[in-house]
Amino acid sequence: MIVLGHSALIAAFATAAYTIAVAMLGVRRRQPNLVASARNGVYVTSGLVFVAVGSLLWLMANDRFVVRYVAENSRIDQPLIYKISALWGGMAGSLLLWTVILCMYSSLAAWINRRRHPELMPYVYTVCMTTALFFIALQLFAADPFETLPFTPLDGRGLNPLLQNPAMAIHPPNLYLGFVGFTIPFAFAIAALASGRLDTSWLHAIRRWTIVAWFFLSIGITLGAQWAYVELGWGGYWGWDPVENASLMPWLIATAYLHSVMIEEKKQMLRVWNMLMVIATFALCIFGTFLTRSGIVSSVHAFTTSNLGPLFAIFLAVILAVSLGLVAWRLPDLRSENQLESVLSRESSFLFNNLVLVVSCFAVLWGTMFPVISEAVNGVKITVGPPFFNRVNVPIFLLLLALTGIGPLIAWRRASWPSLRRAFVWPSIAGLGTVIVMLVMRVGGVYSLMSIGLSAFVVGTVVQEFWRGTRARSSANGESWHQALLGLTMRNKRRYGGYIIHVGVVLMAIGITGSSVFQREVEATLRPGETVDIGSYRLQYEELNHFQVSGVEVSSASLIAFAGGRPRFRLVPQRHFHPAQDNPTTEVAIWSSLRHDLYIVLAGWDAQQTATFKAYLNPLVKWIWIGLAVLALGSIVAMFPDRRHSQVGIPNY
Amino acid sequence: MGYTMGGTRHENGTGKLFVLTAVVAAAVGLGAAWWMAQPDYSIDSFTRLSGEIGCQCGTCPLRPIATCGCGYADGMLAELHELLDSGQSDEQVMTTLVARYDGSVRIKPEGTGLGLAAWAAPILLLTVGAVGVGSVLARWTRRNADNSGDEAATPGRDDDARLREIVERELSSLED
Repeated sequence: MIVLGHSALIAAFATAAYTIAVAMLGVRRRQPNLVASARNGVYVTSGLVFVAVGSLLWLMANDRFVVRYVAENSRIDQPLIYKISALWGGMAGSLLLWTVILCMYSSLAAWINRRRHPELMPYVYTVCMTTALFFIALQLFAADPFETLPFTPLDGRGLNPLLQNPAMAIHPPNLYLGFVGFTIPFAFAIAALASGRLDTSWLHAIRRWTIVAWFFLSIGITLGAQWAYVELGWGGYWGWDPVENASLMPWLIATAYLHSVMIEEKKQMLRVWNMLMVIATFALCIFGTFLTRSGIVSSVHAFTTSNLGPLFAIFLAVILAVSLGLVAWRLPDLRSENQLESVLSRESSFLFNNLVLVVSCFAVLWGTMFPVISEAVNGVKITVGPPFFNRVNVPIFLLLLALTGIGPLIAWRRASWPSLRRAFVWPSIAGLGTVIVMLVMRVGGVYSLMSIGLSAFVVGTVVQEFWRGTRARSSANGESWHQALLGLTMRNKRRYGGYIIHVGVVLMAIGITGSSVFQREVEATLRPGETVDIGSYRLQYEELNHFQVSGVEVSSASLIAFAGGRPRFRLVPQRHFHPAQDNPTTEVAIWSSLRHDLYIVLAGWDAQQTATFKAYLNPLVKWIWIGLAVLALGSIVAMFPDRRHSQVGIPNY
Repeated sequence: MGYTMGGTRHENGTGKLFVLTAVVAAAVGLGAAWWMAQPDYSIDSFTRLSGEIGCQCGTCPLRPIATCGCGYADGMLAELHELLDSGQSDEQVMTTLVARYDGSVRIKPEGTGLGLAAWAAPILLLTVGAVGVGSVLARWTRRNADNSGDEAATPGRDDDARLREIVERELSSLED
């Protein structure tokens, strides 16, 4: 299996190189059979990389510790799910995962477009396989997943205990599906630039790919936050760590692109801008991978730090040089006659939305890299942590939330004041009403009032959009309300899917506001039988036990939570000591409801069973995960293909 | 010729207005950045500083000791208590801790010198960028108005074409 896996990688390197050569030759000689051979090259490369992944998985499942990667990331009594997830627990394996996902996407793109875009596809194959070639080369020459040890250890070191969590088993693949997914839009952008086919065909070709990648990146980021919440034991889910930031930056730029591309599709404007957004998204994905692996900035997620940083930096520089060079070359063809009928239009609101998203991305990038920049400028490293990111980004996100509500209320091309007044009345009442209720109840400060008020405003706009469309459709067609609602959504999936996504974002904003502004925290050292109060709960410490499970030493405390004088539920926070690992891991106990999470950490203990606990009451956290589900639903709706309108004359607001 | 000269005067005037507005926006942005960098005196010193001091355990970089769950952060919190109880001011506490550990203990950049640049860059981009977008929008709208004027003066433009434009606009609004 070792030989098979390694040989498959070598062969994949050769076939990827062949694909690039034959695709370019096909373009040069205008020979379709060469391009068809390049397409087959993509399929064969993918098949070989799949063989390599299968080999490594087999080696891990069968405890072949002679392979260094297996010995460092797996052990005999590790559950099978974590033997599999160890594939992305270390450097070489995570590079292999990148490659296999890239090959999967490339093959899918090649197959779907086998009879479309003949001028673009050779370049698409070239870009995809050049990226694959880089990653395969890294594995062959710098981080070989099949490298063997001179001896066979009896057991492995095991996967990092922090990564032995169900969320971590699915978070990285989702994140990679997002990161790598942006290769396809980038490949089409480069293809359009290189071939000179700069009409909207490449935009239509990547529309669904972009949403798919954005969807997976959204899931990946939120699952990462959930992992941090349950595994790191500090009561929160987002710490503005460089690696977290690395995943957020491409998401912000991709979100900007998903809005600005609509202007190009409708009015052939912003052509250079959209091209730059696609390039920037992909470049930020590679930059994020560089950040994670270079160790250039300190991170709590430094599971895969290595010396590959310079290679990624070179690859990133090549990507930027080639892409921006092509944009500069094609600039005369990309220029468009930009005209707007009115400043009061949805186009304007999308431009401001793009500005805010780009500024937000810049703020995150600037803060993440500032220690490096400051050290380069005056030799003193200025550290930038959560206080900076929160202070700078909270107002920016509030602005974005406002634009999320305003955008759908303004008509394309030109809005009149009377129509604006009509559109804004009910959402504004919803927003202001919420703020007034909060003021009367004396809940929250300025930021929380704005956040919750704007969230209500956005929900108001979405409800109004669905209401008006459903009512119009129902009265025009005589359909029942639920038929009209379904028909409306299905007739314009991208638009109404987008509105559902907005609701998901709002639910997340509510969860983030509630849990960060209204969080309560108590620390107490208790003897068995003693109690501590947090919110409306009384926690009674029962006992502390020590035992072993699957070779892991567990220290487990038991507490009873009382509410209203009656026992409600039991909480069992633990500390795990894994063999061959230095640091114990915190296994928090969480009781979760729609109102709040009760979050308990076992911080320490002594021989007399006296234990120290940190208890957090995190309001509305569950709404973040519910928001993700709603966002996913909206993305799925938006991803489905639209059929052309068969019924002209039915108003579509 | 007269039109061209008038257009140039107009463009010069717009250019000056843009530069003036951009300068005002930059000044507002700098002021906002400086304000953001200031300590929040509405909360007590312990709460404020524990949110601005980074844990030095080596495994949870950049995390404020107020939220870091590790035992090392607990020790630093106790240290902070001691320093504040000894009567030190916020800035003295920070200086003591920077001397004891290193500069990485301060995870919120100061509002002076290079630290201010950390705060100012994103805010300046936002304020000056907003002026830039506003100016671009104004130019594009004006260009459309100019072209509409030319079209209106074209003798071949008849009612059918105008109606076709309206139908096209309505159909377009149906699409999205």
